[in-house]
Amino acid sequence: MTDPSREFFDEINRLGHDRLLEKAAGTLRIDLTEGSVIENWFILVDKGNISATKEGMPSADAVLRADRATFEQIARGQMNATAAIARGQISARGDSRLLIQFLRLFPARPGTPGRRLVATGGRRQR
Amino acid sequence: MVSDLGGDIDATGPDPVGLFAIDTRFLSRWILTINGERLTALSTDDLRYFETRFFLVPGTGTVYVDAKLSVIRQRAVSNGFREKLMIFNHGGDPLDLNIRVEAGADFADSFEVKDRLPKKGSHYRRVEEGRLVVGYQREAFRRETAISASMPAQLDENGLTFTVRLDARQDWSAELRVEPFVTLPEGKVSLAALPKLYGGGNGPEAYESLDIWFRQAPQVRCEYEPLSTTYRRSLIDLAALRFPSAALEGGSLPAAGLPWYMAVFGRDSIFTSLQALPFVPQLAASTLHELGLRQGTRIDDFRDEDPGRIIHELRLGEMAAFEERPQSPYYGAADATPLFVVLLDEYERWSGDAQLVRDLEFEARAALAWIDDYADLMGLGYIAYQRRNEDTGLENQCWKDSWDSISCRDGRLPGFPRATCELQGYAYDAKMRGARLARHFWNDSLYADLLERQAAELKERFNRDFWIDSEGYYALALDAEGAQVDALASNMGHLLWSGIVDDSKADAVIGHLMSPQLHSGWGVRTLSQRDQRYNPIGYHVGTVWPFDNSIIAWGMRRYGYPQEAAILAQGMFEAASFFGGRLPEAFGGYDRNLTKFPVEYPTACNPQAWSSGAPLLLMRTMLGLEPANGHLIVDPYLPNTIGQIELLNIPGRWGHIDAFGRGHHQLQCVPDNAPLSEQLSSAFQTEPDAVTDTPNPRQA
Repeated sequence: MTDPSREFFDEINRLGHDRLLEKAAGTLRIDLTEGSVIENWFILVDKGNISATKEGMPSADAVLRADRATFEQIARGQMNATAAIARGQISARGDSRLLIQFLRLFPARPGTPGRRLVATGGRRQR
Repeated sequence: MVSDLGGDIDATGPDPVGLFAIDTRFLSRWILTINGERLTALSTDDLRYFETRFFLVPGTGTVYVDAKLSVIRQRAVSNGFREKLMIFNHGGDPLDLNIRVEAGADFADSFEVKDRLPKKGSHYRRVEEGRLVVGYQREAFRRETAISASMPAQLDENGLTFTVRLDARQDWSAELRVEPFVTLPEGKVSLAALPKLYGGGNGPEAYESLDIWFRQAPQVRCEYEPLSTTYRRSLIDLAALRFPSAALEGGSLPAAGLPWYMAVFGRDSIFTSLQALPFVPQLAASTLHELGLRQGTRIDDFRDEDPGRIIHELRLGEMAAFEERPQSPYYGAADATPLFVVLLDEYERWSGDAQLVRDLEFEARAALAWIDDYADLMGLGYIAYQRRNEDTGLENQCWKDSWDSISCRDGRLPGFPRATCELQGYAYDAKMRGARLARHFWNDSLYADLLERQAAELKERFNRDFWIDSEGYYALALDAEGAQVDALASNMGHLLWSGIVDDSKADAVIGHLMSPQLHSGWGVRTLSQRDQRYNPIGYHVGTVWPFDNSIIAWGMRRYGYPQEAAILAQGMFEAASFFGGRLPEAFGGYDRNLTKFPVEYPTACNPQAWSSGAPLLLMRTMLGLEPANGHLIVDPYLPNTIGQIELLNIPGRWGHIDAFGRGHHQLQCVPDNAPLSEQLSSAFQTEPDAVTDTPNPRQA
């Protein structure tokens, strides 16, 4: 059975670069909670280059905390992260701008054509 | 924060009062009584927009009783608010006073207050050490308001009481503190400490002080009193409407209006920024950053989101959070996206800020791509709109967003999708301006050529498909079948501004805009009198909007009709003088000959950003200010009633520069201000030319 969270992080590593994050730089930590267990992921963003790793980083510019089930729904596009944060279902703290930029990476609902703008590659769009 | 004239808040009445923040009402009841009696306001001082002072006496009778007690409430909005309560005993005897403040909060979401909807969570109240806490909880969503005082008070669940014996000629004071809190997983956070992600950010007192704001803005010298007063009022109101930007540290963009629209709105922020460019250009920079940050990246039917689309509205309150409303954020505007590119270009022309143009290249290209890839719902090469969220989305996604604003002359409402005319003007303008940006800043002359070709083709087909040849004006829209929606409306004025109007057609268009059917004597109505749905107090179907008129005046100058532009400007400044210099959102479309004053449209928004910006844009159009080749062109055309205008220290790529214009021009279309009785008696004369009429300006 596939793990949607894992898939989301794999996708980030596969892309390697996203123009939507070209004005962003920093480290985002994602805490996935399940009971008393917390799994940490670190998203490194550097002028559009993105990578996801479980290797610990000394500090994070922003932190997202959600229980695993909630995060899976967001990773699949079944739940909107911005609304979830606004109602307290996910907690977010740190660099707001980095967080807002990161939230744009989440996909649209399953079944939506072209699930999201994948903005990779060079500067020009033709 | 909105209260009654005495400083009290009682949200059970019809007025939208309360302490509002992040789309939630944190205080809905705040009533002062002394010995059980309410007080009467003698006067109120708006010290600065975030401070107010109320002068009161006890008793509410209509017959004045000699009062020995006077009360001053001095209030400052600051992370909630602080209120200093001062009571003076002017009499010769000591007084025993029971000073009571009733306090309560309904935590109504801004949508609930407007639509009167019931709450789904639960309220609670408790007295803690030294403060009263009222709160609301719904699942993990929790908001609280803490009420405390500097002097010892008896706290109960409904308020605080001070029991004071005030000697003769003594005074007493206490400071009350009302502080909103948001409960996040890590604990309670006050508004000031709330991350921008939750809508937090510094309050008005943390921005550059009002003095700096005024000092940085251009100074106006003009003997025509309504203009100077209105200009000052506009600057204050735009300062009050600043909303913290998550995208730009320390930056703030204009929110649409107080108190309901203190939120990020794409369309309103863009238009206000355009109006204010020669005056306070920092609004444009923050707006561009913020809207770029929030640009759509996916297809989402609930939010009417498309990749590249610029947001319409972002809300952080309960209803948006629980997705009972789609504003998290909502993208249902069809104009904000091309207008984003227009603002970026116009901003660079003024400021020379090439860096921002390069920083936002991706966003601008995505916005331009949206026009072709997502907006052409009818496949005719026009921007059209149709909401995908059929429960809570907006039906009309143009600026006239009420349900009946787009109609045919005979009153029929067209189906969806709809392609309103001004959207096509914006698309044309966005492509032309985008071409300039591509050529000069993105090093992409091939893309520039493509955009210019597309613009030319759009202009050609637009003038063919939208023009109503028999009548000499542009259709308001095309309907789902591509047929013309033939109402005569103000939207044509935006077409002039955009440059999409064929030169040969401009004269006819302006003739219609200035005709008595559309021009009320104060300004251009949203809809003409001869259209079936015309209603002088219909929100978008007959009222006069200052923002609309300011864009129309800009368009008239573009096509070389400075006199008509000056008439619109004069009408607006004259109207403003009836509102203390603060133009309302809209006013009635009654003929000026009928009433001597503009009739205000009842609305909860006061001030409104693009109404505050309208006088600024009208000053620009009267002075004919236009940046070109690094310089500022000044080409004044002022009515002689306004006299002369000196505008000093206009900021731009040139540093600071002054502009000066003298009002030589006697306007040929001056509305007839003769008293009604005179007009009526002259109408009964037998000579045919005694009937008064608003003269057609083009007859000369």
